[in-house]
Amino acid sequence: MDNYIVPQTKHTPQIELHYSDKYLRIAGDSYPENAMEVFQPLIERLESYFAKAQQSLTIDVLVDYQNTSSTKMMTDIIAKLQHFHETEHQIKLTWYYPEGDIDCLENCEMLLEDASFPYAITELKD
Amino acid sequence: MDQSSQDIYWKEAELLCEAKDLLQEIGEDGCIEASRYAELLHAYAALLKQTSKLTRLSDRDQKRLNNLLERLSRLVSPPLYRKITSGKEKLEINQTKRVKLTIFFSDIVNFSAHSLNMEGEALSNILNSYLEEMTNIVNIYGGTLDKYIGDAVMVFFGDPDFTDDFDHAYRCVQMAIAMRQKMDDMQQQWFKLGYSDPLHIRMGIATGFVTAGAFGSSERLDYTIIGSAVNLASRLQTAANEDQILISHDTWGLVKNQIRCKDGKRLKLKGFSKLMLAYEVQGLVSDSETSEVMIEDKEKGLLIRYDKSKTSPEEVVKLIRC
Repeated sequence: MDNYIVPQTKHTPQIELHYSDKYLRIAGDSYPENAMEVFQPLIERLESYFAKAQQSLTIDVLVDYQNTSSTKMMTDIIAKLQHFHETEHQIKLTWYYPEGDIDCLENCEMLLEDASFPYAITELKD
Repeated sequence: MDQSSQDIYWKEAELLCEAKDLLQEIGEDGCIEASRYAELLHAYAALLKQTSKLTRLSDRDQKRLNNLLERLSRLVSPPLYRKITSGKEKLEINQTKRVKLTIFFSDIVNFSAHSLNMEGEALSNILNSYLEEMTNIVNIYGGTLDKYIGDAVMVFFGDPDFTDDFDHAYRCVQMAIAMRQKMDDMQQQWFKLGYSDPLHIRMGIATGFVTAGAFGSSERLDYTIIGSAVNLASRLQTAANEDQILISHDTWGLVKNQIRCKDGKRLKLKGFSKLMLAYEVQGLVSDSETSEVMIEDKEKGLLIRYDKSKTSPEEVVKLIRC
């Protein structure tokens, strides 16, 4: 399966899903006109990836600012990850927030408050 | 709901369809299948949770945006900030306008030399307290603070809030006088804090047409003004002595009935080929002791100024007749 790589644009984050490395990275601010276009292809690829039994995925997220549509899609992704975790897959997520940005930290905490898969919210030093 | 919003809520739309279908499947006994109802209830609970989370995050983002705007507001003058945030000013490059403004420049005389004799912390304390007080005065008089350049301050009146030429010039000169008065207070404070060398400011004011707008690159814009009047105000400031306010002839023409000035002097200023007429501001007419009387009629070529505490009107008439 080919890796799924979407470069960053002014309003959308970089998305890299490396199947062989079992690694997903989402990095950059997210203010697209249509968040569905940005995140739905990723959700579909995640569903395909986790269709096989006992998959594992390490995820790094570096998204400081996102519009409400992107937040909605992100909650969908987290809900999906939670579902995969509950169905015998291994998920490990790290959400990085800018150094000293307490608002961003608290937003991350809120986004992940219902997740029971292993996750960390880590300050990214300048 | 626009297309993109409809798209991201496709699952919720499906859920509604399911609920409708279930309603149609109600049997003759008025019952629905408990397991399907439980599924629906579970989905609605999840939906409510997500909606609640999105609302909280949205509220937090709004608060975050407000905090950011508050921080940004300190980087631009209040009139310009209001204009930008109200959406009236698009701040696009090449969008400039010609407008008649009154421009003000000030700096601390020999600040570089003073700074050599001060510790870094003391220097920043003095500079920040000075700029804080000066900025408060700018805001009181409704000026647009263009920029700080070290210890120098540049302010203009008439943009983005345009009233009339007299009002701009009068408020600007009043502001300069208030700044000079404030410096007296501050010098006493600094002296008590152990700074023995008094700091003095010098100020220059000019009125004229300038080009106002956003200058710079598409990445980084600076809302400012350019033009000969800007240069003149700057040069007048440089030519001023300690605690002096020099105003251009154009500014003087607007405020001469409200502001007491010494007679105009022609100054050689860098960048100006001819000698420029400048006036030293003494104070507000309303603040004067009212012992000085000035009678001026340009059409008749008349200019009489005398101190009525020393000379009576009769004596003046007598002197004229002589």
